[in-house]
This record gives sequence, structure tokens and C-alpha cells, in this order.
Amino acid sequence: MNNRIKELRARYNLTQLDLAQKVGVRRETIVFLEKGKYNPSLKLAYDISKVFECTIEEVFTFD
Amino acid sequence: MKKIYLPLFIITMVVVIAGIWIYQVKASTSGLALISEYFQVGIIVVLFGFGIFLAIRRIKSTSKGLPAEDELSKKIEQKAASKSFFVSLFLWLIIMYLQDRNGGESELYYGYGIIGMAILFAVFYIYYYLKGNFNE
Repeated sequence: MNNRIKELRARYNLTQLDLAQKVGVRRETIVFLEKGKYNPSLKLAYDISKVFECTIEEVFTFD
Repeated sequence: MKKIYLPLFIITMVVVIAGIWIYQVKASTSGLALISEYFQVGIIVVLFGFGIFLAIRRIKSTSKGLPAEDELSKKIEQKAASKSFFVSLFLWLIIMYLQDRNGGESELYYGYGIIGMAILFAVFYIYYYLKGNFNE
């Protein structure tokens, strides 16, 4: 699964810490997500999409 | 606050109890026995350091307004715990075989077993923490 978290984070001028605080996870979880080393739960995917004002499909895409 | 100090507390208790067991049984302090004791102390220190590492990470997270635990850290802990439990079954089998073959105080072998389980958990935790691929 790929994601556009890094790109969207840059667009919204958010640091990894900012995003982690907004979605209520630790910063390393955002690092793992951006590296594609971890697939989030549906709730976390929804929360991240909500921060970027996108749908889940716009942030996360399946190969 | 409980969640922050829990791993530190558990690991400290494990190593202290195992350490007391080992040192109650071990009396000789010369030659290879002395080296062996230093090695055991080294392992206990490493495990204690691992507990402190976990506690510091949690304290850092909470000080930044982040949760002490989240879905990724819980997953890492669960995977490390389940894998170390499975492997420790074989560890106890080996320990039972060694006790049967060599004899000696049971408490000493219990100490080795408990420390071995703590080491296994630490090793698997670090492995999954570095590997990070939970996409299965």
C-alpha cells in the first residue's frame, strides 16, 4: 500500500510531530507510515485523511 | 502515568528476582565462575537499560502531548510477546534438559529461564521495532 502523507504534509506545512499530535499517535508511527513500513488501521487512515481534507482513497492507494 | 512506568517496573522486577535467585545459589567467585558472574551482571544491566529505554521513550512522547502507546507500539509489543513466548517454550525445554543432565540447584535454572525470557522479549522487540513491516 502506498500513501501520499509526506507530500500532503508538506502541502499543509505540517511536521511529523504536528500530524502525530493531530491524529493522536506517536511520531515514529508517522515515520513508519511515510516509509511504507506500516499499514494503518481504518480509524487512523480516516483520521489522517480528515486532517488533509481528503478521502481515504486520495491518501492511501493499493498497488 | 501507570503506562509510562509499567515496562520499567516489570523488567526491573524480573531482573531483580532472577538476580537474587542466581546470587543466592552462586557461592564461588574465582576463575571461570567469576567471569560467568560478570557476564550475568552484564546481561542484567542490558535488560535494565532496555527497560529504561522504553520508559524514556514513553516519557518523551507524553511530554510532547503524544500518547504513551499507540496502535503501532501495541502491535510491536504484541508481536514481540507472542514470539518470545513461543521461543521460550523451547528455552525451558533446554533448561530442563540441562538441569536433568547436570543437576544442581533448581533456583539457579529458574533464574536463567526468567532472564532468558526477558532477553528474548527484548531481542524480538528490537527486531520488530527496526523491521517495522507489519503489512502482512
